[in-house]
Amino acid sequence: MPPELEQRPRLAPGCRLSEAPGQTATLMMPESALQLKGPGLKIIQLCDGKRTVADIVRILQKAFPEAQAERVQKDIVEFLKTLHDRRAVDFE
Amino acid sequence: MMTYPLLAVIAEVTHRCPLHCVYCSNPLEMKSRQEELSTGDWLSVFEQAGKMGALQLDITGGEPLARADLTDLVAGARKAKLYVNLITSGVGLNEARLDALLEAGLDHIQLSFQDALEAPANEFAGTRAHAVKLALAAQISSRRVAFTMNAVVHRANLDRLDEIIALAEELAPHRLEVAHVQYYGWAVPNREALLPTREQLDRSVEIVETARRRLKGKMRIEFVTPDYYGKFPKACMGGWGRKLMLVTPAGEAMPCHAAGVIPEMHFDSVIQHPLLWLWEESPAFQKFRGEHWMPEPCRGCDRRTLDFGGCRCQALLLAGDAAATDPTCSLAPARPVVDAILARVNSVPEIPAATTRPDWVYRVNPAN
Repeated sequence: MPPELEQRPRLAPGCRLSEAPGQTATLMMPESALQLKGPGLKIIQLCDGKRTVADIVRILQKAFPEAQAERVQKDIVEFLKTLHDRRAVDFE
Repeated sequence: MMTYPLLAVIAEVTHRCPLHCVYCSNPLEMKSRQEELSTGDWLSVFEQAGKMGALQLDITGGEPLARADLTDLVAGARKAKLYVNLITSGVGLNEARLDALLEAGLDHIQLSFQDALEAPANEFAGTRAHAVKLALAAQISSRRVAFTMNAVVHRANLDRLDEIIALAEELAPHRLEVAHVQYYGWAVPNREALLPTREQLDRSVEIVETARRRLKGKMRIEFVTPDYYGKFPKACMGGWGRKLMLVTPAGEAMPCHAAGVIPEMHFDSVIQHPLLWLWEESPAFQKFRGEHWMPEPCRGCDRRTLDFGGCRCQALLLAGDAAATDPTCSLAPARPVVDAILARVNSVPEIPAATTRPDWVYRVNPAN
């Protein structure tokens, strides 16, 4: 299920960025890992259980002013949904 | 020489185990407690693996909890910047030890189950472990750690797959692994009692698909099918010496869990050699790495870059030649060996529940 804008995404237990040198943009999960590119890493860093999806959207819209605002929101919601389906992100 | 990045290390920290599962993947000849690596040896392996860029560590066995220094091993692995998975039966764990492991930085616990019902679960494990696991699952669920329930399925419990999935929903892990038995180690002597019928297998595929749709976003279900029924072999270990290294309790570095069955193969030890040398240069890792060793039909097959010719140990076990195409491949010259086994298994009616018991060969413990 896609998250609501007022929900607060948080990395699920056992999901964290790698601490290995040169690998800190790799999201580690049980038995798998995901290389994060550009905005993906930024979004993950903002999944702290405090910020809402809407907060994250605003921050990313500011960081990428040249991108279409609605597109940024759609991409973030889609990205979070994918991670939720993989059990990497919880919505609180 | 092309070098491959080491992605993960599988540390079989002991062969000791309180369970005697009839499909244990450990070798029939096990390492004794006397031969086990010391705490310091393991910490050195983890540190070297971290420096080589490995991301993941699987701590497995035997039962890793049989080692009193497990918490130190987990802490050392985290210090080496690895993501730490513990693969366990749970026997030997209690709340205090669980908290200590989490405090040390354990990322993920995979707890094994043998069935949804206590009596058959204990029968397959050769000991009374099921109730302990149920209690532990609740303790794990209530803490902040990734939790996988691993259910091993086979001919004698596959008809209870619905109940196994229902148990998982009750215990609420993040992931459920429904893993058909793979035919290595102790599963080989029990093979004909464990291999499901084709009908059972097809039903299990359907049940898993339905459950996946229903539980999406709630519980992730991984499904490992038996490769005997496949058309193509599995990419064992992601290819020989391409991604993974297994270290035995005594320190031998192996490219595959079952590689010890291959005669005349020598495995160098982490005690005598640096991990980098073992990975890049030791003869065992070179032996079937890449494509130079491949026979026909692998050599000219487009799938050689997908499954790397399958599993070398399975080729040895089924075709008597570790350099043969994996006989589970439909194109393999030795495929008739697998087909004959499947024909036998499918000609025997399914075991009527609770009337006949197979003569299980139980895994034994290594000598001290």
